[in-house]
Amino acid sequence: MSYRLPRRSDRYTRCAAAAEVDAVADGEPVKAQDATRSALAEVTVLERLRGGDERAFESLIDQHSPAMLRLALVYVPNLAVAEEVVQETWLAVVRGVDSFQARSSLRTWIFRILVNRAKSSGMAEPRNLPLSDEAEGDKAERSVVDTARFSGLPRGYWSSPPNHWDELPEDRLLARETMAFIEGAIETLPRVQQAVFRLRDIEHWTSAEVCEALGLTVANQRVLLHRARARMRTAIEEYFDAR
Amino acid sequence: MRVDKVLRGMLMKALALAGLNPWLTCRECVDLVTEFLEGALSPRDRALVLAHLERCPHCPRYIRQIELMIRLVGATATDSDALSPVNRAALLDDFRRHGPRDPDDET
Ligand SMILES: [Zn+2]
Repeated sequence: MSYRLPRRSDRYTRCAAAAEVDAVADGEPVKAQDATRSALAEVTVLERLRGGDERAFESLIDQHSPAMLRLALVYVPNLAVAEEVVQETWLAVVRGVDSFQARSSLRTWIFRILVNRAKSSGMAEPRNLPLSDEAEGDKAERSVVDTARFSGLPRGYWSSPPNHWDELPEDRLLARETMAFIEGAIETLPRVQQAVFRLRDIEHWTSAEVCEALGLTVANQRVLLHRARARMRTAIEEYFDAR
Repeated sequence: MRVDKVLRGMLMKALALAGLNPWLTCRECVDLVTEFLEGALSPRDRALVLAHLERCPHCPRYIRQIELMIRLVGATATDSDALSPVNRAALLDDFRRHGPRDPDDET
């Protein structure tokens, strides 16, 4: 099997700052349209679910279960427990769908149930990691790149700048080995960082949805995402550096 | 790299050495990257980041690498069970409707 980069490639090969701004600016209307479209779809799905439509439930399960499994695995020790958590979540969704208020979106509601269940299952497991990273959203220590890399003169400027791994050919970047490394690196992210990172950068949720599903403030979510992204960039840099 | 950019970068560093740099340092710039990409910076901070990126030979690369990392991470999701048949069909459908030439079309 081969890997392909998601599109949007052309946009990000341009290096001028102006191009970055355009990218950020013209990305927004597209997202807004998508949000409207998915909100409409959700109302329909919700009506069909409430009307007892099996097909609607079937497609909802197909749609969300893979991401739910991956997210559950952030909190629980193995796939078997994760599958259990996902199963329980769907049962709770079916039972709760009539009382579901459309204050939040359907999927953030589903994922919030999932995360709560995964957290309690995770804590019940004896061999689980301590929840030591729960407080990592505080703003105290913000710099995410090793200070030593800015230690030249003048202070605060790259003394050991990013190496040029981004110029490697795509077949190298997308090699099976690289992908396996990246998957492993994601798994070593602290728990809450990892949950935020997966929902934002793999599932492409909006920050509002992630805040809602994980019960985080906007600022907190952003700090966690910031740290996760910086760690992942550094991990990839070191990976190619060592080769 | 363009010559004027190299010169501006040298000027920035020279001013910083003299303690007179009005722009951000690289470290400050790196710390603002996520807020920059999220469009969450105040107009003033955004202008400061842009001014730094115009002068710095390294920070634009840092941002490109963050974005490339995100795309690589997205590519891992095509593996086996990571993408459900429903999502996959929706992506293919989207592709058919808009064609490969529309770079803004992504979900
Ligand atoms: Zn810089």
